[in-house]
Amino acid sequence: MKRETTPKWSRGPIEAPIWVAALAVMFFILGATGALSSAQAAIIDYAVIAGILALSLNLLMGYAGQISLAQASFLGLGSFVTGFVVSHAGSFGLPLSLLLSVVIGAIIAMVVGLPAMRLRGVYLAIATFAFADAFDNYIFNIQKISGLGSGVTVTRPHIGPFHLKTDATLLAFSLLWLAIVWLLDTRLMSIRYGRALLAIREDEQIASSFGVPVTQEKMRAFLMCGAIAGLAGSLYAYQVQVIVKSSYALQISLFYLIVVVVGGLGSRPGVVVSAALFTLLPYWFTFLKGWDFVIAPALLIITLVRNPGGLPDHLQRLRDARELKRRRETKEDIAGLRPKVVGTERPAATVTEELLRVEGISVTFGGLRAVNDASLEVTTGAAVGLIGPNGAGKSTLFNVISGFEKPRSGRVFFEGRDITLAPAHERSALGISRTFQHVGLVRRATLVDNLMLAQHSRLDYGAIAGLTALGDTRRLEAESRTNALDLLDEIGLADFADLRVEVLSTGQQRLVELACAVASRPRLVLLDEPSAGMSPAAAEHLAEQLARLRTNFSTALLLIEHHIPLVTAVCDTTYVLDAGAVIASGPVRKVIKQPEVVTAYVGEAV
Amino acid sequence: MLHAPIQTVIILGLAKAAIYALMALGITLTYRAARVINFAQGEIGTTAAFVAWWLISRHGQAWAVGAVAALAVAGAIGYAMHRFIALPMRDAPRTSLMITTLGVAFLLFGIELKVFGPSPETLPTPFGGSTWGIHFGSFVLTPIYIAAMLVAGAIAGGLALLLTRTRFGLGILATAQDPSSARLLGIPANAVSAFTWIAAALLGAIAGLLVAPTQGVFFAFQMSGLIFFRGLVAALIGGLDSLPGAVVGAVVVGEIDSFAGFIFNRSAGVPELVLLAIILVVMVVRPTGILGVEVAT
Repeated sequence: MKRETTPKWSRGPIEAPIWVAALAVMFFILGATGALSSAQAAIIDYAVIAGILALSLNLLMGYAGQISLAQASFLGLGSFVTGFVVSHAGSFGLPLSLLLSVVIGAIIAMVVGLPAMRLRGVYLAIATFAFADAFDNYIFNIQKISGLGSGVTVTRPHIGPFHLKTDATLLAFSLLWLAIVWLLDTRLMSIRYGRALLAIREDEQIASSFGVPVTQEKMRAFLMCGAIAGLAGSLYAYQVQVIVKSSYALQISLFYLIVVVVGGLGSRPGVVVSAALFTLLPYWFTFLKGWDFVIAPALLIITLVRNPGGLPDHLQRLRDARELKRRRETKEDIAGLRPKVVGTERPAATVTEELLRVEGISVTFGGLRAVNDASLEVTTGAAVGLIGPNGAGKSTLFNVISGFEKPRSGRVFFEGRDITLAPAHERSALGISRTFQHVGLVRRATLVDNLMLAQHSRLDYGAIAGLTALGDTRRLEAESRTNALDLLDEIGLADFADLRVEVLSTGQQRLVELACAVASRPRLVLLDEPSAGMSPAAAEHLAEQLARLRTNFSTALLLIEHHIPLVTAVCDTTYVLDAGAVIASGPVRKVIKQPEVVTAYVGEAV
Repeated sequence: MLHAPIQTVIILGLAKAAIYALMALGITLTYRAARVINFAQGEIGTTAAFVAWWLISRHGQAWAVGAVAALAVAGAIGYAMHRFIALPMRDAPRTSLMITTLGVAFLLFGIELKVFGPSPETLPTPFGGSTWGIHFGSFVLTPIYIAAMLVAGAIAGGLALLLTRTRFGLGILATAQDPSSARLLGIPANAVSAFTWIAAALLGAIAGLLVAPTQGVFFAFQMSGLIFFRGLVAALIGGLDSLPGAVVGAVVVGEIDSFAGFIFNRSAGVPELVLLAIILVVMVVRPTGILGVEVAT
């Protein structure tokens, strides 16, 4: 395969905004010459604004998998802010109203979102529902804000010599904003912040194991969602001229939810076209009026029952599965590692010193002691096993070390620093990475995106730099991409770099997971049963691969494994856990012969 | 300043709480069994009110006939949600299933508009023009509110008995705790799911039928905002998965509603604003609910 090192955003996506801008110019000219009637221009403008609103919800729902039931309230917020600003600010009205609509949209999103973001997705749905209801019944019912029955009149503005008095010029203006939002959206999805959202949509725990600060990234997405919806509200106010509160009811929010799902969750063109069609068709074909509220939700139900991830997701999966088959036929088997050395940048530690120290950890679930006063130590560069019968508490102890489980008592030190209370994503940034018993990858993202996600905390450019492609963004992205492709090359899967993880076999996914675990150059890798789900042939290579990982990346390994020969081959020493307590430790071969260890595994000797 | 004696405010709050408790119980049942909020539950209430109104006011049928037909329609909707949505989406992400219930809410709204029209309608009370009621000074607790309290009490009691005393009920609780183990123990997952969705729909319908006559008029989508929203807050206060918690939550919401209504009787929407604040505070301080112990994060 041809090596692709150019970052995505320097290619294709720029074309769409250019088309949209060209349309803007065309509509402007059509309007000026009178070829486009004012009424038609207004209707098309509604469709464009609906497209911007759909993009705002798609960002949250399509990418991050979170539900907002308050898009119409954000729209209303933007409209009424605009109404207020226009009547008070005179000639600065236009820029000030756009700016304030965006800023206030973001602020309200923060107030509503912050309490819900720490919790599961259902809570944001509830919080936005309450927000929509409170705004509908209270805020938008205040005479000074909404003008109640008579509404608020918004006079159309001008910027310098450009009077936005006609519907066609307003349409052109909205189209320009659609182009800008589209461009930002495209940028977002090609930088680390966008990838983080895809990981969050898949599984918040996996996301944080990649070093993604989940709460913060969800919040960022919701802020952008509120800000863009506020912008749409401002544009809408200028178009309708008399804004009334009934345009911003809860039903409208639900309708946009439907528009986005039917258009295709996560599909930029899909949701914009869907929003445009649902706006235009009932205007153009009046017999559809009323039926759109029946047909649209029916389409949503059919879509989600058949493809719970949405239609674009389903189509992409089919395409990738086909691609995988095609590429496989032109290649020999790709199970093994090719001898290519990647990642020897850190000199192997000459002095072994303490890396991880776990002291007296206890975890209880209800009345059950899952881990009971367990202590262990891993020195730099060491390979240490953690064995024990099923239910001994091995994975729970891993969860404590990687930050997914808070211990009842005990401490965890990493490089001498107490990390007992540090959140999971911070531990990843400090140099602890892990794999899961079930494959811990973003199955609906490509291989290369997964490997770039694993480097999330190393790509330390900010959101503004990322969205504008300024600063180090391009260089850092390109480096991380090269690194990702090198690692894929090393595990022999570079040919499938641009396909989704979910089309690979479990054994191949395990390899990708290993590559992800070392992609961030960790000091310690926690491996939770890496041989699970592998074919016997692939499992045989595993010992060799793990040994290579350890030397090439000079990282320490802590390995949970039931397959004792693998532990013997990889680890120098091992701990044995039974009923939550450490019952033995020492060199592997010696430990597994100890009578109490044998008893723990096979029961009391007769 | 209160514009009524305090005992009046409290009693009206309890009467409202009865209706919200019906909603909250349905929401909690569904959340326990399927880990989603059934957003269609409120709109099933509006649909039931329309069906009853159509038979009673349009076609002169007896109240009981209208109510039974409304419940039958609601039950059918509940079963359809189980059979054609929840079952095929058993392994789908919970977010997707939740969005689908929102789709159902909107579909019912669209159908109400198409079939019954957008204009507000009046559903009479089952007690005709009777002026009977329990008097609290100048305030009269009308029969519909008394009925609501009795019905809600009976349903809450019945649910408690069913869930704690019968094999089927214990199976529902087991399924909520650990679906795969419950399946292995031979608990009929399909029957449990069907029961849950039908029960939620019926609770929504009963709440809708009881609240519509107290509102003067009802209209499409009204119940989703009016009683479903309050039931949702009640369920959230209860921690989303505790049935006793949901009832306690309903009392809290009913009293807030009643007090806010009497204190700020000139400006509508104050209860909604207070409830938004409560939701945000509950999420920060106690997402496991006032009676909850499990960790919600």
